[in-house]
Amino acid sequence: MVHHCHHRYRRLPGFPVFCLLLALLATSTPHADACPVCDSPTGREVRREIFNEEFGPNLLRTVLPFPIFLGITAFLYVGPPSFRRRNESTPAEDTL
Amino acid sequence: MNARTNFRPLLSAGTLIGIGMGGFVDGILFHQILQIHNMLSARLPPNTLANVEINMVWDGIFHAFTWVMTVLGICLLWRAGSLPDVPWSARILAGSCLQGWGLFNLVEGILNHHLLGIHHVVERFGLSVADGAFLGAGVLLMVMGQVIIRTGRSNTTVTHPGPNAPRIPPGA
Repeated sequence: MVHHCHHRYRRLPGFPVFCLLLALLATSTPHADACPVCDSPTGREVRREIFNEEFGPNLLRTVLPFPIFLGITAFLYVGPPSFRRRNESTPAEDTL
Repeated sequence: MNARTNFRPLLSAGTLIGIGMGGFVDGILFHQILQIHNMLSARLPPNTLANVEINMVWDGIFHAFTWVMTVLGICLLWRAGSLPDVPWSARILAGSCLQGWGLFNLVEGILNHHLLGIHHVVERFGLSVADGAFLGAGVLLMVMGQVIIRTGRSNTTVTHPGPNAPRIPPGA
């Protein structure tokens, strides 16, 4: 048991160094510079292709389902107008 | 049935959570793990590094809104838990979650796959039987959700005391 713990303790410092080297290697490749906020030819191209005249339409296309989801959920929450009128005039036994 | 039983807060909370979970299944499974489509893959095929990155940004915006739906669902669930007339039913919550997942497939499938055509389930096939199966799965999930909700409604009474009820110490 003691030997096992000692063994783990001895090997531990090598692992962070390995991870650091791996991270440095990964970020030194050209592909890692392609992010939308990266200052590289690909990064600039990505930014240009996102923030162009298609940005608004693309944003609308991407988020269009969500107002519909919220509308349906709001309808589920408050109920149809006939239900609301009935619920306000008489105490309901079962509100759905 | 209890004198004033209100299922609507629990139904709407579960539906929003189901919409969020359905969105995450789509995004995580189809966009990221299987990579069979991305948000704008019909317009910007992910065959260059720049197009992959652009699609990833729009996937992220889609995920952000899906996250908001889930958070709103949790907020509604929290509120439902504090209302004395809302039944605390696992079946109603589970059924409404399935209903929300099915609703996600239907609305997203009809809008994005069929009407706008910004992506398809399997992009290399275009509009295919997989898109029909996606809608069919949505209908099936909604039907399953409705069945579970109905069984939950039929044997549910208000079982949680609400926020103003006196606290009973454990073991009393």
